[in-house]
Amino acid sequence: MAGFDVVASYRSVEDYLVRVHGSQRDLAIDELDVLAAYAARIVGEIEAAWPVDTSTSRDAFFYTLLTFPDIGFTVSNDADYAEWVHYKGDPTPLVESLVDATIDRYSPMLIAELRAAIDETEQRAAENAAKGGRGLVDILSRRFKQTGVPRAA
Amino acid sequence: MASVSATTTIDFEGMAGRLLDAERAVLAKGSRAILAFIRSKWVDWEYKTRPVNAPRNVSFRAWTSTLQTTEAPYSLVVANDARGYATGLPYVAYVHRAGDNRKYYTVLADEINVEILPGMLAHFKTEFQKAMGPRERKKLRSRGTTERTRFMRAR
Repeated sequence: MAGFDVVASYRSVEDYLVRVHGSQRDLAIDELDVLAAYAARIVGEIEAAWPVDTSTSRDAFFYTLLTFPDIGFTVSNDADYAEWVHYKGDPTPLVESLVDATIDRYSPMLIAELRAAIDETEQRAAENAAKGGRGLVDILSRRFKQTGVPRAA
Repeated sequence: MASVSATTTIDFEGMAGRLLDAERAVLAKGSRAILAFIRSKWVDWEYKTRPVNAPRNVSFRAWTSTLQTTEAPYSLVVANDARGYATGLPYVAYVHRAGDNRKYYTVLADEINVEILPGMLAHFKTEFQKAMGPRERKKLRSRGTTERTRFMRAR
């Protein structure tokens, strides 16, 4: 009996980052925002489609962001039977169907947005360095885009 | 321990059993709003003693939230267990802004208490009142072990 971690890592984004930056690096805040937004949306969709009896395993979902050296996120569930949860009449574990399918559906959009965010970061780093700054080091922890903070009600 | 974990509990009189989907959706939306709020503020840190090539934004990406909606008291937990790259120990509870000795998580908690929780609780109460009546009582299951099977999915 076990919960699960589904690690979704985006090799194409890792390769792209190395190509435009010249080496591996941490993700900047605007790039993390993209990852976090998609991870939250994906987990929300999985929860919405998850079969529920007590809600214990549905409540046990969480995600973590991966930034270095892998880029992506992990969808986790720490209910000890989560690995075996399936829809009634279909024995396929949802960790191998619903979870993967939901991640796959969003991955093309995530990759495109993340690459665009990387381009912006590299441009800002170059501008910072051209002005005598330390380039990427000066901007990694800064946010340039305003994120929309959803209200709860 | 210097991790941060903040729990909001909901326990209205007459509540028992698993939350309905509409009620749970309010808490799920609230947890997303709280994480987004924290992440919108948890930026622009100074790294005075950290080497240039050391990891950045470690605590930013460590914010998590979980719900317990099976039986009262229902809860929404927001936590951060980021570990220092040099010590391997949790440190988020010590984080503060330059020139301000207040622990920054307490500053944000105060803002969340004012800006997000009242709206979330009011919305929750509305949904709860819509569905007043007997509910199916389910026994709260233990989540059991923390052991998890790892599925690698490179894309």
